[in-house]
Amino acid sequence: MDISHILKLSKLELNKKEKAKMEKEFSNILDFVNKLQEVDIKKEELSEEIKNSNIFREDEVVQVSEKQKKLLRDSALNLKDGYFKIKKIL
Amino acid sequence: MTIIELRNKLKNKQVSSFEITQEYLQKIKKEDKKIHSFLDIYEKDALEMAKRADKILKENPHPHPLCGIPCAIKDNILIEGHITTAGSKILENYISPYDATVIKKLKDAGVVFLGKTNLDEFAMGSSTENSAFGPTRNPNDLNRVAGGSSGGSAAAVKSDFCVFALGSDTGGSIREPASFCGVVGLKPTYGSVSRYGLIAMASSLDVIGPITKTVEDAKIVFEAIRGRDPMDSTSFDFIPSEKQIKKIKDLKIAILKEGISDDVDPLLKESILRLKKDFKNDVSKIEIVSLPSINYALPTYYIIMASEVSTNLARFDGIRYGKSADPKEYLNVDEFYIKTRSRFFGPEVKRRIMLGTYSLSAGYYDEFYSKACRVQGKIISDFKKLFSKFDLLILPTSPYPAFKLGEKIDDPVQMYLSDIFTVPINLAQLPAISIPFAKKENLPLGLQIVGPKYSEDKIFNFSKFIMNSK
Repeated sequence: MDISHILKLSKLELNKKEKAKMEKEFSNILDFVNKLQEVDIKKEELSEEIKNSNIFREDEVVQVSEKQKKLLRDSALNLKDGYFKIKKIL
Repeated sequence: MTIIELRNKLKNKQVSSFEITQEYLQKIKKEDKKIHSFLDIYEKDALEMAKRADKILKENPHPHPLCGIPCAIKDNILIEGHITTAGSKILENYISPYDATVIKKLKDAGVVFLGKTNLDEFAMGSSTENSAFGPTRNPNDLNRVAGGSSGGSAAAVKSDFCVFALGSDTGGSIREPASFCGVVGLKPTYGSVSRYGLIAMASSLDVIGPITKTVEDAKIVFEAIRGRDPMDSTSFDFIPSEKQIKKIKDLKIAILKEGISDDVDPLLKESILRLKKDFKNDVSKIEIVSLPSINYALPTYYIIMASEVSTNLARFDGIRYGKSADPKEYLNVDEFYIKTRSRFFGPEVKRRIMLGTYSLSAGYYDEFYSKACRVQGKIISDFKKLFSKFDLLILPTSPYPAFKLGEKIDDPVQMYLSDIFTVPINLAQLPAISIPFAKKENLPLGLQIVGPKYSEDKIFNFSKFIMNSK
């Protein structure tokens, strides 16, 4: 199977050798998960029980320590005036 | 040494936390080269934490039961100011900007952190061979895997490089390595322990839990880390119900029929069947029960988990944190993402991102993701039916003991099959423990005990009974 489109959607690229290996593995994995198609469950049977309820909190601004701010800033590739700087998109 | 043993020694002043921490650090430095359970050792910090714990132990007549106890943390849980790699090249230099909630709780208790343990990259794997920093070896046989993804934590506990460790479990990542190494591993009820500060793999399945030497220790750690956290909207306040603490003689036990099939190691199968005879007079009922939908759990899990992986790992863009492709080389952002992710993610992570992207993509969503959610609903309701008639379910943790390094790494589907008995429990959000149960020569085999949601105390009691009656 050709995996070029899935790679593109996944924002990944592989060289020729890696791609050939991945195509084989990916098709084995798809065969394996395709076992699900044997199960006959209608849409309306979707169990209520898996719908966990969220427990919300107030959306309040919290103070972050200077040390934590520094760690966050230092992780960024390129920060300018508190904003992430990237190459132009359009 | 167990938590309870060390706690008594600390209490009786036979040893200080500082002394025992020093001993553990020396042992790790001397002996971990052959196991490779640790990725980072906190030499200076651990001794300072131990000193602080000694002060509390001296001044406070009722310290927390974990005060001064040295432990190890799986390297996908954030500790402020320290590197957290998640076993991936992409986070090789990432310094955690805050403490995970479980870390905050353990710090408040006075626990000493010895360092971070090895794992499959982003906790994706069953052998710790997917770690970007090399595999962890099984302390029982160095040619075999420690299991995964919390292989470093399980191997460290088995080798007594720490008193206990934390792991995380999305599809068996605490229980399977506990089984392979011969220690106790608890996967708590989903939501009972906060996920804040755990690097996300599949958020609807991920849970943090303890890896320990005894069931009693697992209970102590679980009680220290559980509870509602405003930073995790799926967490809840854990109130153990008095009703669930039944006497052993009142328990109704189910043995999973699918767990004693011919695919299971014959020795393990026999040992489980023997329980039926041995416990006949000890419990109210012990019967073999089938749960046919369990046969679909693994493909269901792989679709749901991979779908969540593909969305969760979209955050690794090389811009806000983590490693980046060289920005000078590339003109547009999209290409920059692609170069960064392709260079620093390993093969299993790429496979799962691709499977998830595929399952969620236009034209395949109904056939894959939506179908998997429906089957998950079926599995949940089948477990619910089972637990309306029984208190607990027993089954193997893994069908076999630890396999050889390299044995399954080139066949992803074979590797996935190691988790055939653990993934259904995550899909149903249930609590389960793995306890050392049988031994095939020098290789341990774990037994899994599962209960309905919030039944941890019942699981602990029955596990202790099994361990004591051996």
